[in-house]
Amino acid sequence: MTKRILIANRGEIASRIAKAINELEFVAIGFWTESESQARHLEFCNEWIKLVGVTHAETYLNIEQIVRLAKEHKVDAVHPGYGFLSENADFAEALNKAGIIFIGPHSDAIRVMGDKATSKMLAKKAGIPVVPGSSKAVESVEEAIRIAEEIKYPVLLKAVAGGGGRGMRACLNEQEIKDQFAALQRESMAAFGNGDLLVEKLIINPRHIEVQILADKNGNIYHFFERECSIQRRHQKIIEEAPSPFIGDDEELRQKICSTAVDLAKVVKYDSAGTVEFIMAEDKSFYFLEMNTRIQVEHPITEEITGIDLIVCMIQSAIGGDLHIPNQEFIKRSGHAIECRICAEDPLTMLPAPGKVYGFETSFPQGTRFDNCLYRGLEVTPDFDPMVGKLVTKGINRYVAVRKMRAALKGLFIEGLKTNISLHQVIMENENFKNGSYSTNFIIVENPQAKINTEIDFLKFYKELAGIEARNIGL
Amino acid sequence: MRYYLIENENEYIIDLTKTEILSSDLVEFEFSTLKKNELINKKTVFVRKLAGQYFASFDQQCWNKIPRQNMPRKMIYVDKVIDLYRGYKPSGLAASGEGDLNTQMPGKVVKILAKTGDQVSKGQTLLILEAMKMENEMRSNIDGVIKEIHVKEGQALEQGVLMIEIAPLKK
Amino acid sequence: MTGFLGGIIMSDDVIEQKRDRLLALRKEAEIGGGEARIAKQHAQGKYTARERIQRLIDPGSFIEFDRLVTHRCTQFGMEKKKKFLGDGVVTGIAEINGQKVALYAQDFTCWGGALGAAHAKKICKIMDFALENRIPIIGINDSGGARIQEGVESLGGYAEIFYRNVKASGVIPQISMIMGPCAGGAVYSPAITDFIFMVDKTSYMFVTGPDVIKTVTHEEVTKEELGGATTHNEKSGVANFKCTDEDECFERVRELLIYIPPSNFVKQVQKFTSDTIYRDNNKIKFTVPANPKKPYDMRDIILEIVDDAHFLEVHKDYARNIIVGFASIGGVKIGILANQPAVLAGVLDIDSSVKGARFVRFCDAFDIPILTLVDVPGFLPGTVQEYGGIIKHGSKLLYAYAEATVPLITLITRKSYGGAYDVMASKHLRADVNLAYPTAEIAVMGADGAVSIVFRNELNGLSGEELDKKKAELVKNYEDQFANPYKAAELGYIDAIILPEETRQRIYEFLTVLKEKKVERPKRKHGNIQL
Repeated sequence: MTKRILIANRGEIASRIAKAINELEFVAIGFWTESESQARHLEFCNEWIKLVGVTHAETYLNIEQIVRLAKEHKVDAVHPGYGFLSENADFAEALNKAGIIFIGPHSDAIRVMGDKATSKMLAKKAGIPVVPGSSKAVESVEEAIRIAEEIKYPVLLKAVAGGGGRGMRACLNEQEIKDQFAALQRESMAAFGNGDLLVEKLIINPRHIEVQILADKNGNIYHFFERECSIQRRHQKIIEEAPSPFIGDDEELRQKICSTAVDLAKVVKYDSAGTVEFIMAEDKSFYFLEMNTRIQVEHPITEEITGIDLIVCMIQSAIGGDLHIPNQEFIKRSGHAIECRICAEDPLTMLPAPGKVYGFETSFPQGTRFDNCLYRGLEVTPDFDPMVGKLVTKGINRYVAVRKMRAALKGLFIEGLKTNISLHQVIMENENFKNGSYSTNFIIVENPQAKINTEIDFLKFYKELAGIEARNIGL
Repeated sequence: MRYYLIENENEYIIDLTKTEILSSDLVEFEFSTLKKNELINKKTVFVRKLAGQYFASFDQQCWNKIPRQNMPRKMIYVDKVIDLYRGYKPSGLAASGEGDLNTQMPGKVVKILAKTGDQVSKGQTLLILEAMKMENEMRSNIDGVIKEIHVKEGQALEQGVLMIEIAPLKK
Repeated sequence: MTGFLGGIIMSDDVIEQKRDRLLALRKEAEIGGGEARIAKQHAQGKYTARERIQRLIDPGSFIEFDRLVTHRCTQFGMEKKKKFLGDGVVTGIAEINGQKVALYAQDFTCWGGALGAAHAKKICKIMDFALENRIPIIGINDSGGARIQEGVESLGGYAEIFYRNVKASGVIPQISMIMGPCAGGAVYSPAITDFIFMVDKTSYMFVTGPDVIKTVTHEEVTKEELGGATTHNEKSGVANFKCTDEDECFERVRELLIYIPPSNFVKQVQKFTSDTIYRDNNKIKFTVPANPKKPYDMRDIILEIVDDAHFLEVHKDYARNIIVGFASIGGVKIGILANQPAVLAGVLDIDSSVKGARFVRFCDAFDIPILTLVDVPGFLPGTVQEYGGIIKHGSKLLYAYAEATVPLITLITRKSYGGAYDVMASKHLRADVNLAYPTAEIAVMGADGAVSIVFRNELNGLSGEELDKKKAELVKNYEDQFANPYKAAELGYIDAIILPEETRQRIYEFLTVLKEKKVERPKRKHGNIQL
């Protein structure tokens, strides 16, 4: 039976989802707005619906309009992608009330896992290791100090409602807690509307490791191994890889962390795609951080090492189709995959740099995948996030994957935008990255921006000008 | 033919000094780069067409594909935005003038607004000259330091008199 | 493999020989006057003819004509001496910015570039080609003059060129680049062409040289002083552009060709610009000062309203009280003529009227719309002007505007007094759109002068402070009544009063409306413009 599936998102993920829908031979329905009337993802959609409005609140975050349009166009299911309303329980419920399937987990799972405090409590109750610290908001400086003594310094003062790296202060001793407590309370109140603070153990040189989960509506929960996303800046991921080089060949540890993730998913009766994020210390002890109840940006690397299309499975899981996965043992991993997020930003300052794409050409080695929304004439505006594509390479081992990524970066030509391609190239040459020995402070410690060569390469210009002139002559 | 690459204060001139069509699918070019009239480098480039794409080589042995096909007006280079002009640098992109202020017409010096040694900026009014019943503001056309003032207030001047000498600021 | 030709068996060797002969001749033509002379040319800071062509045009686009032409002179034993292939001039067709142009470049390394019959014939041939195919003709002059050995044939050669210059005038754009000597009769060809480019220090033009001048009038003057680039750009106004070196000259020519059409048959294409049309010109909101005695640079206004601040000024150093040049607004290519209040208060005089008139007539000949920016207090008084014939020269600009049938847009920024109001593309001369800023003052004359005449009787008996006070009062009244554009607007002589920040978009809107303007004039052979 052909299903009509609406994609409540834009950019490269909308293209990705549309391709999956096309594969299933369903009808793909895409949104467009006045400010993005030439969006590339519509190329892969069969039907196009206009979202009225200017701001995100009026368009992609507008539950009322989206549900109404979905009903009007007799949509069977909605895929929210990532960001926007993908982790909004109200949206899921509104769709369900309208008789439309929400391609994601049930709304209780979204609610519970969406709140850092409740998810942590739930994990703890389930016997899953969490970062030692207060389980609920700390009332006073004294209580904070008492907890800190228990879990041992250094500790992290963290806002309950914070996220994306904001609302956190490291404290190395009692005095620092005394100094920072009140200030952070005020700050969090102003920024997030909630001044509640937690006290947590601060992990030194942590590694960010997450496990991909996929479940169906029949209680089967599978894991698709782990990913490592430790190359980040201000908690924005830059490079991800699968499997984790830190875990390496330690199959026991891998099995442990993956089954832990599955256990947590079982607790909330998870029934879709999701990711359980952990933080791993240098001594290989790991602690639950949070769970993302949606498909993630970096899912392609997991697809590469397992060979299983996660988006198709996610859709099948939601509508009750056949995942073609008999059991966990069927899911095997092979090789190594790396993903570099290509963003329209200044490679030195990492600030967004909107612009217009004048040229786009690719010349990749075998085993490269580039999920993108680029085309000649695309205007990258400051309204949307600056990521224009995800460059993924897969090799039989990590060394080969890094080698292919170097070649792929050289073969990626985007003209008219400042991009962070040169930053990625420097990171691929970095010794510590090549060894796989890095943690989440890689960018700060290694400072790869400093090694980017900004001197004009005139020989390269000569070649380009020669090409232009040759073309004009009519060669 | 020349190309101008302008990035903020930096201006590079790429001079195409030779174009030779060697055969129906091979062209030879010779480029050199000049900065402030000094030659920085020079190179011969060969271009040939293969399977609808253009390839360049420095020695006719090793060929690399050329991705850029059309002349862009603005080029992004890592973190730089470069203005690129082909064949000429358009007028109106004013070249900086010399620092000397001469009278352009006969007139009388009404007021002198600066003194020797003052640091002045481009566009700053230094002197008022009354001519043709108009009060003409004589402005500095560079950032610099007043080297010498040759005229006095109330002095009547002919055309073409050097009034103020300004030494450019060393960057 | 062998072939038959009339019974004679031709082997491949013979074919090879024929090929080699051609290749050898081609190579010989390349070298022109020989390595030694080329080195001398370079030592003077000048390029050779072929180098100049290569540097001027789009790479690889040169198609040469008449490479192997030689002279046929048998006087003075010329036939025994070495003949230069091409006879001292390189002619052909090339592309500049993708537009086909015809060009010729005289080769100073061959007998000093002297012109003989064959040399002139080559130039005439390429000029005929340009005229028949409706493409611009560019001439690079670098010649010692007529070839004395060829006698009157050289003079005849020149005349044939001049005839074609006139035949093509107003039909195809003609550009002369003076990159060396150009003396005697040879100067008339550039003089007839539309634009003359000269290179500083290495080019000069004069009818009679310093040597002859010394013997006849006993004046001592150098070639540079007499007819160098600076002299002709600033003193005589013969040249339109002065370039610091040959490379800059090539670039200015390329830039000029962007703004002028290839012939009078073709309507101009839009110029590519990334500049948005509807952007506020807030920068020029207060450029026109409140105090009418204060001058300002009209170029500030021009640069703000045109695309990308690109204004190609023509005749920059001559008659600097008027500004003429090319620019584009919203991609539409236009000519701009403007008074310059910063120089001589922007008055009109002999030189500026003539400069402006030629420019207007060029734009009219080639269908280029003209934007006129007016801030003129009147004509320059004085015996120099009167004896010089300001009457006939001043009215040349008026004639040019009245004769023009291209779209004319006029904008009065401040003063427009007296006869100069009429001359500067007023409504009565059939300008299409007349605009004014709120700071415009349209009157017969300025307040001071007017009050002195009109209220002569009232002011007669007064003196000292009383006189000053009465005068100030009358001046104020006059200014309130007349120092504004509203009287003219009431009469419909001004179509609209606009704010400075709206300038660009309003002009663009009018340009789009006037795109298809067509006006016929009564048929006649030609008017009798007061030359």
